[in-house]
Formats: sequence, structure tokens, C-alpha cells
Amino acid sequence: MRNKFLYFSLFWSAVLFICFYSCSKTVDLSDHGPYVDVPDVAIHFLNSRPEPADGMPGDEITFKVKGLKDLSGFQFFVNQVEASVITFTDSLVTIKLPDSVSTGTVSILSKEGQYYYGPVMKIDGKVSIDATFDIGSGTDGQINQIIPSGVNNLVAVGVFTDFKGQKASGAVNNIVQFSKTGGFVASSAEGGAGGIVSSIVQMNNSSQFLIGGSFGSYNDISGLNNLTKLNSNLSIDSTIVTLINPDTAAHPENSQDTVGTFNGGVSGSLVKMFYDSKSDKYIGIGNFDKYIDYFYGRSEKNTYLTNVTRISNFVRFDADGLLDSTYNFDPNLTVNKRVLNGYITDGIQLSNGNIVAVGSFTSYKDHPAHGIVVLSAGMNAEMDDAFMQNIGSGADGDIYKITYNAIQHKIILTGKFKNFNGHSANGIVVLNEDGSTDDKFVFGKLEGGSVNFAAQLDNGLMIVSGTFEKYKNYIRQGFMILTPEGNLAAGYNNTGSFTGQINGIMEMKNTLSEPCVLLYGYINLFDNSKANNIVRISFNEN
Amino acid sequence: MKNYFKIFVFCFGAILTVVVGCQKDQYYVDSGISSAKYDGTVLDYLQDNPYHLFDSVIKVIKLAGMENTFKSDSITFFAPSDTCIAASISYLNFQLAQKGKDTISNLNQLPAEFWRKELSLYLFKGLHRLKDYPQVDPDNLQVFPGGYFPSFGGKVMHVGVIFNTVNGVQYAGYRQLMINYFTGSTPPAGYLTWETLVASSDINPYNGIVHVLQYPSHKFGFSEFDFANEAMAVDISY
Repeated sequence: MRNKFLYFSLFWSAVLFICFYSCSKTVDLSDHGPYVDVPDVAIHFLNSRPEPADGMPGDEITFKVKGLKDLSGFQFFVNQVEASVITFTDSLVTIKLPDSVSTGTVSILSKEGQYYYGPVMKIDGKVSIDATFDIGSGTDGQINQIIPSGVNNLVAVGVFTDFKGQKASGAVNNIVQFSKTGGFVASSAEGGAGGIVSSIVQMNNSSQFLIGGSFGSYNDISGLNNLTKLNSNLSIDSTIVTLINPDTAAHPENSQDTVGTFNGGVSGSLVKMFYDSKSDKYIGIGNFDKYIDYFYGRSEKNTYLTNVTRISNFVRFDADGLLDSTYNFDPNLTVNKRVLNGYITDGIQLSNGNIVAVGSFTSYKDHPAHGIVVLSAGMNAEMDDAFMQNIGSGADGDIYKITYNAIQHKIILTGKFKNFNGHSANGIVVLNEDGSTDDKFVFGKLEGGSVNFAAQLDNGLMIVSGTFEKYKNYIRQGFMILTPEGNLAAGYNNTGSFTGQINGIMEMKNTLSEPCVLLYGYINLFDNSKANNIVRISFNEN
Repeated sequence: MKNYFKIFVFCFGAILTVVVGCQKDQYYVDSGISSAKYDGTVLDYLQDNPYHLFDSVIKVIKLAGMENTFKSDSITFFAPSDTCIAASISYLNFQLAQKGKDTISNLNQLPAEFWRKELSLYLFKGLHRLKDYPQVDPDNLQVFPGGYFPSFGGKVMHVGVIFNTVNGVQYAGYRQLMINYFTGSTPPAGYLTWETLVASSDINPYNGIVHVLQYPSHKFGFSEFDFANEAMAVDISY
């Protein structure tokens, strides 16, 4: 018995030994594994900040850099502008900041043509990101318009689903309220707009807002046609209407419905809205050819009788959505014909109430209008002939953006055009309020891209942004501040690289009473720092 | 007798264990060490892809007039795929529609110089394998910055090798190439923008090295916004 047990044990030991041994695989890799050593980087910037960390042209700045002695020769650049090297050792290099330098990454270019980039050199100047505006992670999509909401707050509309991480605690959808210091302000826009919001306008003598864009619902109310009215807390202004109910006994709830108080809408996208003081009504401009309202009194639930009026591009309505048939409405129009033969991309209202629309069209009601048309205020959407005469042949390409400064009485157009009314204009032109070209503004040589936004501040300086790299041979990456004559404003062009599309600006004062400007749109990078579609810059005039 | 039978059963069981235990299952296929060599030019390699990943890329190469470069020059190509081009074109079309412009339906509506510029972001002169690029750690750029290399068209691109972590040991794991784009002429300091990882590196046709990008989330031109802006700045033929 004992022997048997011994045999069994031995036998199984042998079996297990064979199993383990035969199935094991040998892996033979050297200490480095399958890889060889990688090449080392020749130049190392050792500290994240230079000494001193910021400076003005002419200042001497020291960087900790390893490896310079091993190079046969090199050049030192501060944001693409070459700086003269004063001394260098194997771990330190001292350079002198060149003139016309702006904030940006420093780099060393070896003789072999290899770039080594280092930290950001901050250049002091009159412009800086406003530290009193705490915008954090901003929005996750573009902002189309920002207007004041009450005394302390602002309301932004656009295409976004988050604001400073508020998505986690409550939905943010294309509309958000925040304070002038950048803090989120809770509102009743729980669900927000179910689509793009392009424009918002404060209603006259009321704390309510009108919003327009490309959306079909707001909060829990659907059936909207790109236009609706909001209360001051950003909830939709709604009302209960009585409907026809074919089955009152079984479905008493179908006798009434909650709908938007504003009963009106358009068939396409609404681009901008304005308050027309002469008629005490509102004007909407956009790319639509019908005005739509519902006749609730003869409707059943969810199948509203729809009243469609053919009217295109420009429409005027009152505070409750009633169409003004004296404005741009042609009772004899039987075919689907738009007044403009192209798209509207932007518009402004002049201080005299006239509406200026720009876009890709070339005619208005069969009259020539190359990219820009001006409609008289309070009239039956007639062109302002004097203005149109001054515009003359207009733009030879599309106009994308228009801005207006009522204090300086200037209009700025930007777009994809090379000439404007016979004047050479490299995508930007400044007009006087009467439509004549402002010849005082001479736009210089632009390299590396184009202008996609320009606006004038109340003090006359102009903010110009785009995809360009150089202006008048100076490095200006996508953002610059010009004088009314088109020169770089001295001291104002210290900011670094900019990437994005500005949709609008708003001038204000910060808590330190410094003048500052809110820039919003689709903004990735401002002053070489990550931006999230909204940035406030402050001006230090000292 | 009974005992012998028991022993026999045990022995049989033991032999069975040894025989079956060491058998290799069908699901295990030893593909061996794959060869990086490809018998053909870079263009042939792209054309030969069994999944047709690069059909539009080849079309873009032809539109850009760079066929000879891909056939005979000594190049390193970080290959995007068709879906990357489709994604950027779709964004461009969205932007065109926003401006009220007609959208594009054929790649040949955009001019050759536009395609050359965009394609050149992915192309470098000379042969550069994974081992030739310095280490990059996006979380520690100061120590492992990667490198900046001028691409075919002159625009400087950032390329580096990520050393992955394995079993909690930093930098001891597998290595992966990464290429990055930045807008403008200088990169922002301290972080990388538009990072794209390479899926298969060091593929070696006759005249070059191909690194195929992880294409599902990549957009042609790296930044779709820049791609659309560049496209709208040139003349689109309708």
C-alpha cells in the first residue's frame, strides 16, 4: 500500500514536471527590450520661465539652456523675431529683446536648420489678458453674440453645451448667463435652445429678450421656428392656449397646450435681429423665404394650423410675433423669389436706424448690391439710395463680417474681396456712416493669411484679427491693434499668437476701472495661451 | 488485476494530459516577426492597401501633382486615411454652407497648390524611422520635448516618441510615434496641439518610410478649422 502511494507520487511528479517543462517558453530580451536607444535632443531649455519673466524691447533676458556650446552656430528668436545674443555659456544665454517683438515662444535655430523651442517670453505692453475676468474653461463651442443682461450680468448665445464645467450640474445649451467678472449665473434656461442661437436682442422697455437662429425648441417647448421670446431669467415666455378637442371625455388634457407667447418664426436661419424704434417693432434679417405663425384657436393639439407668409431675408414683427405687412411684404408675390440673390452672413443697425446687411449677394430686388445693402429705417424696406450711391460698385467678393462704431461713425467690412468700389481693399475696408470709403485708413501689406474680423473701439483704435502672420513686415500672428490710419498702434501690439474667428467685441470696464474689451467667437489661442471662445483684454494706459 | 487496471487508467490519463496539455490551440497563430519591407514604392504601398484606406489620399497625391515624389524621392510619410479627408471636407462644407456658399462634392474642386500645402504637413524629406526621433512626454515636455522638424513644404512639425508605461514602470513599455501640428509659425510653450498618434510605424517601401496614423479621430490638415480657412481662401472651382 505504501509502495503504491510512493509510485503514484513519483509518477505524478514526473508527469507534472514534463507538463511544466515542455510548455514553458523562453523569452530572451536584452535590458533595452526590442528597442535601441533614442537620439537625445541637442538643446534643452531647462527652466519654464526666463529671468526676468517679462520685459520690454531693449531689456536683457537670461534663459537657462543646455547644449549651446556643442552647436557650431545658432540664432536666437523671440516669437520669430531674431534677438541678438549678448553672452552664452553651456547653461545660460543672455539676449537683448529686439524692437517690435511680441509675446511668444523663444526658439534656437541651429546652423543645420533644426529648431528648438523654449518657454514663452512675455512682452510687456498696454494689452494684457484681463486677470479680473475669471472665465476658466469658457464654452465648448462658438459664441455668436453677447449682450448685457441687467446691470451686472451678460448673456451669451451660440453653439455650445458647456460653460466653465456647468454641464455636470445642469444643462447648458446654446445660451448662458454669466457675470461681468466671468462667474456663472444660474438662470431658468434648463434645456436651453435646441439648435444654434445666432442673435439675441433686449426688448424695448422690458427685461425680456428675443432670440433667433436655427432651433426648433426651447426648454420643454417645441414647434418653434427659429425665433422666440425669453423672460429675463432666460426661461421661455410661454402661455396656455385653448385648442379644439375632438374627444373631451377621454382626453381632457388635449383641450389646451402650453406654447411660446411669441407666435412667429421664419423658415430658415435668422442671422441678426434689431429693435426698430421708429415703428416700435423688431427687424430680423437672415436666410429665409417665409414667415410662419400658428392659428391656435382652430387647431388640435400638436397639429397647429400654420399660417405661412412669403417674405424673404428681411422681416419686421411686433413684440408678440405679429408680422408687419408694410415692411418688405409684396402682396402680389406669387412665386418663391427672394429679395436677395445670395446669403446674408452679418448685419448691423446704424444709429439712424438703417439696417445694413452683408453677404454673398449681388442684387437686392433686382437692383445691384454687391455684398452690401442698406435699408432705410421705418420705411417699406426701401434701399437707402444715397448710401447705395456712395457704395458704388461695392465688393468684388463676399463680405463676411460687418462691425459698426457709433461714436467713431465708422463701418468696417471684412471678407473675401480684393476691391471695394474701385479702391484696392485686401479683405478689409472702412466706410463712413454715409457709405463712402474712408480713405484715411490705408491697410498695409499682409502676409501669411487673411483678415476675418475687424472692429473699431470707441477711442478709434481698431482690433483686427485673422489668419495672417505678418503685417507691414512685423510679426503679428492673427491679432493686431491698428490706429485709424492702419498703422500698428504703438505699445498695443505686444500680444502673441492668436487662432480663431472673432464674432464680436464688447467694451466695458473691469473691477479695477481699467478699460477692457471682451472678445468672443471661436477662439482657440489668445496671446499664445489656450482660450475657450471668450477672452477679455484690458488696456493699461500707463 | 483490479489494481493493474487502476494503474493503467492513471497512466492513460497521465499520457493524455501530457499530449493534450502541450497542444497548441487553434486560436493561437504565431505570425512570426513581421517584415517592415514592402516590395514597391510608397505610392504602391498606399494603392495596395486591401481595405482601401488610402484611395482618397492617393487622389490627393495626384491632385497635388506629387506622384513622382511618392514614387522616387526618399521620403517619410505619416499617412492619414480617407476618413480624415472626408471629415475635413465635411467641416469645410459646413463652413461653406454657413457662408451661403455652394459646398464641394469633388476633391478636384480645390486647386493643386492647396492640396500640396496640406499634404506636405505629413511629408518629410529623408528616411526617418521611430528610432530616429527623440522621446516626448506630453506631461513633461521640459525633460522630453520631442523634436521640431521642417516638413516637406517648410512648415515645422513636432514629432516625438512616446515611451509608454508598463506594469507601473514609467517609460519601460512600448514606444509609439506621435506627430503634432500647431497653427501659426511658433508652437505654444508647455503643451502640444493637434496630437496624432501613429498606429503602424516604420513600414518600409523602396523609396521611403510610412508611418500610418491612428486615423479614426484624425482630421486631414490636423486642424479642420485651419483646413477650412485655407480652402476658403483659395479659389474653389464649381
